[in-house]
Amino acid sequence: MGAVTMHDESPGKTAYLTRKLAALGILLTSSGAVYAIAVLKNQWIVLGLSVLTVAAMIMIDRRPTLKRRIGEPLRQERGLLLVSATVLALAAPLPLRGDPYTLHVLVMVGISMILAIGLNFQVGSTGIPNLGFAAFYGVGAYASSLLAIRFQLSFWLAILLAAAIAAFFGFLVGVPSLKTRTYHLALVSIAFGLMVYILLNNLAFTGGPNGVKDIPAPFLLGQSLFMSIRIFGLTYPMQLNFYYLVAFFLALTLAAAHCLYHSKVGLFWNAVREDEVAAKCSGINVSAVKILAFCVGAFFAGIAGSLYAHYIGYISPENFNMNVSLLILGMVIMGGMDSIQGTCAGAFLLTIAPEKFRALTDLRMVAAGLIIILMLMFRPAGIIPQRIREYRGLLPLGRDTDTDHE
Amino acid sequence: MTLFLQLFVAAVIVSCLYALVAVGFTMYVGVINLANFSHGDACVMGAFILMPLFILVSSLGWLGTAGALVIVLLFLVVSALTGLWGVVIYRILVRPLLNSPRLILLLATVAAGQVIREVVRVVYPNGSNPQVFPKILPQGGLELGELSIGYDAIAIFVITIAVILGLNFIIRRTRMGMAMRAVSQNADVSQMMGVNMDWTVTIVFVIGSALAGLAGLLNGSYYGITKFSIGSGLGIKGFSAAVIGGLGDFYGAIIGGFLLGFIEVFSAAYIPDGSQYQDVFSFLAVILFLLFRPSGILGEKIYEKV
Repeated sequence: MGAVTMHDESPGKTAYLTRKLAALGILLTSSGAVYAIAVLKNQWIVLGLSVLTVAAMIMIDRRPTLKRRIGEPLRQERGLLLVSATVLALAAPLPLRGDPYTLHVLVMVGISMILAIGLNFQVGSTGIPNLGFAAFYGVGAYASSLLAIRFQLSFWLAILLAAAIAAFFGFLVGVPSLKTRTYHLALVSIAFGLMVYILLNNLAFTGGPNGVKDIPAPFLLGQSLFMSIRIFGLTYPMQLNFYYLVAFFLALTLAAAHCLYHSKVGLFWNAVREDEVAAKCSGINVSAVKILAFCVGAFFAGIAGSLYAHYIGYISPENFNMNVSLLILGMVIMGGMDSIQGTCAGAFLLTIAPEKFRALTDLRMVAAGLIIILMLMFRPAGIIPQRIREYRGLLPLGRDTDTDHE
Repeated sequence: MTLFLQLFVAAVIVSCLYALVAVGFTMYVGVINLANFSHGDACVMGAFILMPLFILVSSLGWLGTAGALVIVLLFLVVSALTGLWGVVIYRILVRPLLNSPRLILLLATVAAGQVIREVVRVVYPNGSNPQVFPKILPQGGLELGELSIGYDAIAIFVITIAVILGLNFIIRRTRMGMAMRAVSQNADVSQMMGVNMDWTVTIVFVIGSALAGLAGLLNGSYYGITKFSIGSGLGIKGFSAAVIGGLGDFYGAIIGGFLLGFIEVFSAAYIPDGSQYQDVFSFLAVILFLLFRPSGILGEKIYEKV
């Protein structure tokens, strides 16, 4: 260990500063591109920027030396990056005071990201083909809004209960899935998705096809989040409240996803995905691990559903049909299965695209399907592929092993 | 009693439609172990290819004297066109992905189905709304006391039986069928024995898609109405039937189709409010099967190979 640390500290203070600056530069460039894509109105500029960004990501990923050069400062300056990314995310909506529409799109992006990360636990990490994920989203949305309306529960309690109820539904789907493999699993998930859709459409207490109206606003410190907000003497539209609300839950989701990926559970999920029999032979409780993937994914879908319901104020079964399931699946596949950053990128692009290209609204499902097919054929790992796991702590050579992976 | 018999007839017809879809579905699974989730949407293609053709044919005035013959020809043309679509799907989508993990292939077919569905919706005039399907099957019916059986129902039953017998003949008695069975048992060894696997699988896709197109036609003409989105429902029912029967088993798919059809029709009739929830009942049946007999009615118990 000693030799390695010596080597680490031997470059002087300038190299240390360069690394910090490099990390900040990379963060600023990438978030600038993302911000421009989100905020600019001209669809051709947005299209050009998106294509450039995605192409740049893929190019970087193809060049090992470049990838390492960019990845190294990012990996070593994690704390700095986390702080500056948080500051950027908090400051990002402030210039958009006169543009509630873009704020709305950003809120929807956040909700999509939570959803996509939830599905990623199942499809990406564990290899469970869940084609009915919108059902969990719907269960969360309905549970939360009905609890808030019928029992006057506060939003904060309702969202937790909704997530728990959705997780319970995840458990219900998980149990019949245990005895089954890929195809049967896909069938169970579709069947479940359709069943929930039919029930939402026909049951009396869900309001049938008319859905649920007048879902109450969340309250924070006695202030309704539906009211516009004043910051530093400036009045902001109510979408800003929800931006911060969704950002808060997205941050929790990201933290949970990060911790799970780096925990034993994440490793077990990947093992089950790669080879179920081998995983079982290594002493992994495959059933428990799969059910956990169902529950965790559904939990976050429930959170996303609750946020959506209380933000829009109105939900109907059409918000949770098969197309929504496939769209979320598209986000995960496009971004990169099992990759948290990738999943977020996919959610961002697929949520932004139909908003920016109004002419394409009718073709959005065609586009999503084509994107899934093209990604699967030519780049199954997605825009930002998951890196190979590294176990520095376990290996005696420390960080020298970095080079082995390239 | 009349009600029961009437329901029985209806159930047989619905079962025939499901069995046709399930048989096509099971061919893919049986031969190359692929669950083709775009199968149901190929049914929609069949229905939506027929409608403009039918308008064309009737505007040309060909339906007058030899109308029945023209309609039979239309059936063949539509089946052939959807069969060609099977070649496209196989060559463009499935073959390049055959060696990737099954999850990838499965997701790709799901996306392909979605693309077909949405293209039909966008391209067909007023495609988002249900379309009135032309009456291409014989109208009228037999009156047996209080029971009435439409000629269209009889036609669907006869066509289904004929198709199943024909397929059975192809699979059991011809060289191509032998090749299919060989590939299904062991793709590598069959290739060593001189089976042209690529060609065999292409034929499987042609047959499967043609069956789907036919099922879409019959479905449309039986209900008199069709919609771009019926495919996902039909495909999932077909898949469910195949799973209930034992995934990959030809006869199992037929039995599964009939079980599903009967569950659906009778639950809709005899359970209060059942018609709204008939799909829920059939999906519950599938889930129960997967819980207690995952290998289906005719399927062999699956042992995991290490």
